Amino acid sequence: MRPSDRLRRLVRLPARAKTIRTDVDAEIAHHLEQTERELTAAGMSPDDARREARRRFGDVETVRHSLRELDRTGARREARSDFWSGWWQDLRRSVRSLRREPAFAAVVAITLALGLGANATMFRVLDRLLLRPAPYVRTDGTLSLLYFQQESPQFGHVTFTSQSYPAFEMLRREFAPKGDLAAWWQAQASSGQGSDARKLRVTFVTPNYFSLLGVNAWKGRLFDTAMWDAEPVPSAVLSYEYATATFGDPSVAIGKTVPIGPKTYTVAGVAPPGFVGADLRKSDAFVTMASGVGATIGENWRTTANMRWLQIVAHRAPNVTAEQAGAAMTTVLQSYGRSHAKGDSAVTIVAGSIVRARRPDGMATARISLWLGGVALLVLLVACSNVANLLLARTMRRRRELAVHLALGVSRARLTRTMVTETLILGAAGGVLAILLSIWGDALLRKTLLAGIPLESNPLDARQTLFVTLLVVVAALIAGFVPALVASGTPLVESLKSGAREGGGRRHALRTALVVVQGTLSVILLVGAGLFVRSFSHATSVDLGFEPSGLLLASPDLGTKGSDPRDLEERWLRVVDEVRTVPGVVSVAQTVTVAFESQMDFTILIDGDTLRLQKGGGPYANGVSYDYFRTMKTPILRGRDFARTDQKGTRNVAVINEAMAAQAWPGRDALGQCFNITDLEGCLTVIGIVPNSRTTQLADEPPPQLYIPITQWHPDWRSIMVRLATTSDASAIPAVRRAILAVEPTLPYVDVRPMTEIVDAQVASWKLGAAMFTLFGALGVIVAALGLYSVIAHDVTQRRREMGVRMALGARREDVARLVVGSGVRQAIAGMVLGLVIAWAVSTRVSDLLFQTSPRDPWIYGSVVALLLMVAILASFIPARRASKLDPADVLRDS
Amino acid sequence: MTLLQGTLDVLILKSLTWGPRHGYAVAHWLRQTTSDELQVEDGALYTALHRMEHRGWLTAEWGVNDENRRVKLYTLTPVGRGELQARTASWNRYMTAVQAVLTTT
Repeated sequence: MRPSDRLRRLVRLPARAKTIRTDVDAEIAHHLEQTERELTAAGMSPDDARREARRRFGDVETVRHSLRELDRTGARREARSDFWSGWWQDLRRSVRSLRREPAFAAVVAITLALGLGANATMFRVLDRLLLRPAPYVRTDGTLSLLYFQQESPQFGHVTFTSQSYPAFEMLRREFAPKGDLAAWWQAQASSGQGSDARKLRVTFVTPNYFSLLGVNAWKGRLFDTAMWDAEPVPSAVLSYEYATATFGDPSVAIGKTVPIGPKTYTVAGVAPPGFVGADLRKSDAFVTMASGVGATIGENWRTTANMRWLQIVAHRAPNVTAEQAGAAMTTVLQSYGRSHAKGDSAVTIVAGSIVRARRPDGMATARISLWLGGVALLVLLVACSNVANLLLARTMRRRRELAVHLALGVSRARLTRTMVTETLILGAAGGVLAILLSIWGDALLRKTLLAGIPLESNPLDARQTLFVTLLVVVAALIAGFVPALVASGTPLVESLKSGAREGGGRRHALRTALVVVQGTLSVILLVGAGLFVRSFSHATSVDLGFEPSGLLLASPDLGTKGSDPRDLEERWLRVVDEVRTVPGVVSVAQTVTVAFESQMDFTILIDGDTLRLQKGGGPYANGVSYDYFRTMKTPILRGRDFARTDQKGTRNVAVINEAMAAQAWPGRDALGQCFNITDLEGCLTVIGIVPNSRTTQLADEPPPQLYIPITQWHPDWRSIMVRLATTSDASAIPAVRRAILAVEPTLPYVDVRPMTEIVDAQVASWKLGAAMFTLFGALGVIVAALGLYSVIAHDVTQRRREMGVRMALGARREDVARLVVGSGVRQAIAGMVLGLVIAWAVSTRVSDLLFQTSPRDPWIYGSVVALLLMVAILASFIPARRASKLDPADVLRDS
Repeated sequence: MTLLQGTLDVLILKSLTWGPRHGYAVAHWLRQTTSDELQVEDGALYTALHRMEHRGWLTAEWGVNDENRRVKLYTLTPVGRGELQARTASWNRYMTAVQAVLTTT
């Protein structure tokens, strides 16, 4: 075998269809020629020799045809088997070539891992939140959560999720042939009394709740429908987690007793681990409504039509669509409303998705998560274009190697495939890293931003892994395709000939284009981050009208049954006095409603006219004690605060906020005016005016609000506000609880919470948006900066000669540096302009997710531009320095 | 004398046991070894060569001959060698059997 043959075998010369024809022809021609020559040598005349050679061969044309046919089928078969064995070869070759450049491989894999990790994490959240029903709940599409929609003069088009019990019963009865309904209500309850008491999340359910959802007990039994009306021995189903925490081993819980509220329950069963109801809310225990809901919300719960408290889920018969179910129930509810509950006569029922986050009016967390999912994809795109850039640079470094491959007969298609294989390997490495990253990311999210969303705890989720795998393939194709095409298009002769001069103009344009794309995406990411950060900072710095830090909310359940109101008043006063003695407590006051938790509205009469209800809610009334405004740190703007002398029997007084003053007495001084409310006899004189407070939702404008002294009204339900000297509440919370229990030792669990916790829940969605957008934005910018750096650095290397010449001709070092930085900044600016245009156009879509922030806030756009310019200058500065340090003599000698 | 069905393959395989050859050389060798007794159309020989190549008994490579012309060289693969042995053995058994019948008196 000749050396050239060995080389051909070494590179495995593939059979190519177009050469078959000429090969066959050459072979036959050679044979005929040789035979003729042999015959002529033996003495035949040339003509005879030709004829004899052909006679011996047979029908030349037929043979030629059949040989071509044979070779073609053979080549096809070989191509097929080559393809598969080729993959394996490619794989091994790719691993070898990547191992020669570990730094390059690591950078690419890590870049991809960052992009993929962001997506893996967001996928997990979105999958749990939006794509799947809660765990264990039947997934056949026959379940619907019920939503109630209504036009209200105060709030416009509203969607609510709760209904009264009589309406539920009526709906269930009339809906019966088309399916069944179950209802539940989650509440806080106390387990035990006094200092041993613990807080419990209890879900009161109709007995068909579990069977309707399709959930089976992990151990023991669940409720059966015989318990609908009454339960002689109250039984409870515990969550797996609560049973584990309480009894150590959840399987021993069955038959044990658990006090819930005023009753003692026997544990009948344990729900499967990780069961979070139909709406992803954790519960510690499930009990039937009949067994004890009356103790919490009043014994007349079965008949009260104006109290909406039940969440309802429908299980439709197989042939009933959600639309049909909704329409049928709407008819029932409206006719029920006409005869029983005026409020329900105009309500439309929507049988919505069983996935709560897909509620018809949208959920902020879900929408932000969806946006974040899109943002994660952007980060991946930035990563992909960066990887594409690195691969392009590498392709150029390897031009001669590739040209040698081509010269040896490796097909361009095969070369493309090898390059794509390399990218796939890098992508797979990135994917594995990404899953590790997302495990960490999950833990972080679980702890911080999505504390309310119960994600499954298994770190390796099959759906997530599948998603990441899919994404790896897509990312590898996106990042690897163009470089691979460029590689396969390596001009053969030129590349072999010109050793020193590498990198043509077109390639350079491609790499610049990629940098521009990265710049564009970075702008979009950063504008998004800016919008949410500004929203978050606005939301946290908004003037609430009170100071939540250093403020505690205590809700002791003093009960109402069988006590003389005067006696109850005494007990509340004793509690307040005792709490005031706790070290670090500055002042203590009682209140009926709590900001962001509860409101109360009354009909208000001014000069005999009913005060019209406000759009956006209100006026709301609150009963508060002496010292309330001092405790809340709400200043009295005009007039006076409540005094200890404002008692029953003295003149009825009220403090109102500015919004109410403006609404009730526009253009007049509200101080000294008199008005009536339905629950109190006699008119109330306005004695003071306070600033507006945000009490309904942080994003809502503060509603009109009036305050009445608790001593002139004696409401049953109260909470206590405690102002601390410092903002740290860690030691104060148990101290306040102990103080309350010291005077009321038999109370059920006394809930003491920092007010900041309640306010934080209000800003959670902006916090989520701000944190994640910033994280993803930072990721995107870092990756894009690396991309710009690599392009500029590569550029400088390529243009060493040119720079050398420039310097030799008298260019100063600053000039060269400016040239390099200038080209970096130009590329960044091109990307920025494009990004700004896109961000400008798209950002209005998030405007309702923002808080007091214009989606086109010029400050944000300006800061983004400034930041990115800085990053671009920094990224080009290092290569620029290197360029300016070139020694022209060295450069010109080298090349 | 015409060739028995299927024997051409064995003859070609046999001819390649001495190393790579091109089609003409195989034909030439056949003709010489059998002293022109066997009537084989050269076209059939090439068909057989190509068929066996795709079956994996032979490999073919383009080389250059002494006159600097491109020629297709066939080489026996290990599979082809095994095939040759198997066919030779069965041919011998066949021959022995036929011989036994024909020499019965």
